[in-house]
Amino acid sequence: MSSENETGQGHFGKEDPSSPEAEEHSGGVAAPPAPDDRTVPSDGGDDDGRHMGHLDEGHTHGPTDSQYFTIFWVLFGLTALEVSTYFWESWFGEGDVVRRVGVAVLLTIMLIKFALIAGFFMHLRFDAALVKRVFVFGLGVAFVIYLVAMTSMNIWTDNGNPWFNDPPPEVTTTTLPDGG
Amino acid sequence: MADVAGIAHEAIEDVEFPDDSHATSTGISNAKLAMWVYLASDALLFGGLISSYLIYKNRPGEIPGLAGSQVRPNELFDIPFTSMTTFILLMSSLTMVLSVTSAMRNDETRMRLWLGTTALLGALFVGGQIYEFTVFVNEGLGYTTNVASSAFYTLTGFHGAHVAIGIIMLVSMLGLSFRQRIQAEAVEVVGLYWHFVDIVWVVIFTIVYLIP
Repeated sequence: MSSENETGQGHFGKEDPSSPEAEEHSGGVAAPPAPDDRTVPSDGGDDDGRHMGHLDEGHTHGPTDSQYFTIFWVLFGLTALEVSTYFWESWFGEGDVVRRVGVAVLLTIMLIKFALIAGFFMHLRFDAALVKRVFVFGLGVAFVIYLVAMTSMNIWTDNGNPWFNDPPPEVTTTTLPDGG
Repeated sequence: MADVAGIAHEAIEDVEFPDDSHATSTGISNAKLAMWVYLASDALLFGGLISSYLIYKNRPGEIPGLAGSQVRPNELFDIPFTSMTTFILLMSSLTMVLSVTSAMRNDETRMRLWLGTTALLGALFVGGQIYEFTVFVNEGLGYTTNVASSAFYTLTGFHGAHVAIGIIMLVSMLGLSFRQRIQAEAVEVVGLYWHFVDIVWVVIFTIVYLIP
């Protein structure tokens, strides 16, 4: 196995760093470790090689391809369950309970899907803590800012949705007197 | 003597930075960290657009002077069709992650295959969105019909634009892979963007389409 494969550097194309040409160019020095090998997570450095890009004997540390397929099928099933809520009223009859349970299920599934994609497909679960902090900070700021914005727009008390509150008042139009 | 020193310096640089990357104080490559910072800021953009839609979706004719038609976007939704495009985008996330793992394994052929498949699935999603918009416009819901329709088209249109930009990145990367070496990290960074677009759609599909 070439040193590139051992380190999982992941180059393609015409310039192979482990090739004799590259070795000659670098003064005959053996191919160096991959950049990811220098990448130490900032959360205390307990890197056991799980982060992206570090290969060992041809295997990535993190989910394998079959595990990605498993996660995909879980996401697929959750999405199917989400879509099914659209038909719940025709199956179980109309009613506040069905609607409220449906909304609760939808929001829960949305959060689970979000976590699965961010954690596994985006490798947030295996990446450095700094990356998590940056992303979670952005999400947190967005959530708080827009929660405040929506509250200031009376969305919880006057959004026209009869589930939560009374419908908004009728819009009244004022006619200006002629020749005013 | 100077030549020898120069060669030695070059050799050391090649050892330290074999693929033109640089060591960083954070331990994370600049490109990857920049993408994460961008995604965090993009969350703010989509947060604003989703909030706007939530605020206006039930008040299509409430603002005097901007009353317009009382037609609401959610009266025209075709959930089975949108569900299909959602599954397509979900599949594209799987093919994207397979492309990244192929790149990590230096499996050039499969990386290209999965990159192409991801771009194709993304194009199908955008095509579905264009079809949906066309149906809505034919039903009388234009961009300026009322504030609810404006908020809806702005939100889903921005998301569609993100997908389209992602497709351009994927196709560019696919084309470049035939001409020069592609670092696995570059594929990973594009993958981060693509998965984020999928995550945003997870939120939009639930909040805009499924929650009545």
